[in-house]
Amino acid sequence: MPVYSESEILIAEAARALAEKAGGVARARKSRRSFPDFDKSIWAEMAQSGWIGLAALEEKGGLGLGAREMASLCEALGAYIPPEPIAPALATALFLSRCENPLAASHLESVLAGTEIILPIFSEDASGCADGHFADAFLLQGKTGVHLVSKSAPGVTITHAEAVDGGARSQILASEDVLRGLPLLATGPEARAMFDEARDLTRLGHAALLVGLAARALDMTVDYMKTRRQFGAAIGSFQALQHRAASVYVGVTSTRALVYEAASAFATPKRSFAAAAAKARSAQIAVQACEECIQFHGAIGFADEHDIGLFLRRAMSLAAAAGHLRACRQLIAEVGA
Amino acid sequence: MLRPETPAQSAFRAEVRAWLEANLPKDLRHLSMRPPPEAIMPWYRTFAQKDWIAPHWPKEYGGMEASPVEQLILVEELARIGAPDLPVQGFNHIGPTLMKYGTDDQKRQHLPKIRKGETIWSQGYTEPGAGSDLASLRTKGVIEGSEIIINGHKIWTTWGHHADWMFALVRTGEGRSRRDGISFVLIDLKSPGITRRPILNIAQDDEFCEVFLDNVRAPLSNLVGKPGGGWAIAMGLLDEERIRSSSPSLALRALSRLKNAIRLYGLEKDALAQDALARAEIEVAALSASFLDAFERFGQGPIAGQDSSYLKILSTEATQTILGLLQELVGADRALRHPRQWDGARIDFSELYLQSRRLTIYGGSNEIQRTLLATRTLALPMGEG
Repeated sequence: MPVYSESEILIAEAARALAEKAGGVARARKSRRSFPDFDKSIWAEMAQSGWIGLAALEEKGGLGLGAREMASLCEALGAYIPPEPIAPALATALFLSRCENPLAASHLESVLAGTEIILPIFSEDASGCADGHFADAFLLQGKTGVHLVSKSAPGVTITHAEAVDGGARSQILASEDVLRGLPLLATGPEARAMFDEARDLTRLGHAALLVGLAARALDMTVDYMKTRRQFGAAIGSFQALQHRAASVYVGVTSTRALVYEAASAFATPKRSFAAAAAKARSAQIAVQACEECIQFHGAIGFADEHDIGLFLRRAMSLAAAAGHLRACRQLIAEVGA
Repeated sequence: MLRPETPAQSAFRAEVRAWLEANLPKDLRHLSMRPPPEAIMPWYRTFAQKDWIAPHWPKEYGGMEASPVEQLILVEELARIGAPDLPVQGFNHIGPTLMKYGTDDQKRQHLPKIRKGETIWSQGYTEPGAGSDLASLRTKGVIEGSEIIINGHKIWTTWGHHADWMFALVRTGEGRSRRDGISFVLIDLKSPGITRRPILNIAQDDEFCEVFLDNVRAPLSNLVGKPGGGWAIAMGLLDEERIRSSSPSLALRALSRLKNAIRLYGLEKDALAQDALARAEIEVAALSASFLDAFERFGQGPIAGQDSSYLKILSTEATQTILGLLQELVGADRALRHPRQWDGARIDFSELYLQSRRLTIYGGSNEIQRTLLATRTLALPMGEG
């Protein structure tokens, strides 16, 4: 556990309280059954708490907090595997708050109020995103800059394929011609820089969610190992399982340290490298952790009825989003530390 | 390190870098094995001019009392220039032990010499029959008047044959458990009755040694703590030692060899090589972050036991992973014994990789660390065996 600041602790506590009140992990299970419908009920509450604008510029109505606070929020929420696309929404709010035009300003207002959901589409994500079915509009990068793409914009192909966690694997395709007819929020190299920042913040947020997810999966599993008895002993006393659980702990704990270290580097030239490293490692570790946790549960881990399987499926979706393993590793190899 | 440095930290880094460049002999850089005393102790004594040599020692004993970030900066700069590993039994083991548990006489006699590089220390814990199960040790000490007479056999003693002194765990009595009756003794290796035999390892160096003790006499004043109180002393600082030896030092050196190899083999655009490089960079980033994190919490008084096992596993396996990637990368050359000079650089194909196989074994094997982690940190129930 990093040494959390006062504000990070408060944010995490508030996040846990909200997630518990909303129904905890059971909510994730329910949302699975309802695709393509989705539960927007707590989005308004999150907006009211200021979380959508957590990282957005203070002078534009955001909280102006940093990547560490965002990591703290996402880590705390991750344990409840919420279906909402929190990290990319936060990144959009930051992006919009950096834009200098009335269109961006008006949409920022509705985004911060929670009445509109806008998600960024990254090219590294094969022109897609996770859980795009929540969104009213998208940010798409074209040749001239970053465009605002309403979900009903003509000539844009939007598909939401069902993902294993009950969310969506969304794809938003628009030709350069079509994009040219859609409103611009930012242009030129500035737009590119701001969009890269949004991508990195999304990656960091996902990394933090994945760490919270994996840590909770391990906790649940360790509890199970203490109570489940076979051969006259708690299965948690079997050395093979102890060692593998220890390995999961090493992976999760070291990844958490990396996520917060990467968050500390967010306002520096090492930002992209750090965010990609955090995302790549967390994706790998979280999926592995969930695989192991299912294994330690034995047959019931494989039953849909058991919560542990929800964790694996949500991890798969978060791992795929905003820069899957290959994309992140490619960036790291190019950029170096 | 990923987080931004303060101006003071950047200045410190620049100072360290410049001083090392000016003072570390070129023939001691980027070695895969620690050179023998005649080669490395002059460097120890040079480095001892700076309190950077003992970043974790109190200022009262000539240490730096470095912050976690300063410690990482030192680790990174030493790795960058390929500085050789100094013998650390003094700085990391017996030094802190004497500071915490030693008498004033023992501190006066030994600490300054450790600090200056005038004595070399070795650790006499493990025996042929007592490795992971250290408490089953059988080297015996009989107290006779003002002396303790020691008979037994220690093994895997790093630099035992080069050392001047050895701190040893010796059974001086029986108690309710095997851990009772173990005493912590300082042994002058010039004493009569000591035979030392180096052990050649698979990396073809003989750092480890067997030490035979045949009626070796040590004054009672060489006991640290009370007779029978040795186990607690040996374990007392184990966690801190483990955290310290889990620095990214070796992983950083392994990473730089990987980068070197990619350059020399012309694999900058090779997808597999790039993926291997990325994985190695990620491991090092995670390890460095974890190292800083553990030290920061240490300063807040965390439960050290939770961190030392986790860090030991992380640092050793990260290093082995990176060297495994390097071995795959050099392909047909992986079994070459000797490094080669190539294009102004020195490429080591197999030395550091073979050296690294000991990492998961010594310092408490990684299997033991996993059991400790599982039972202490995860609070899983103890098994039958």
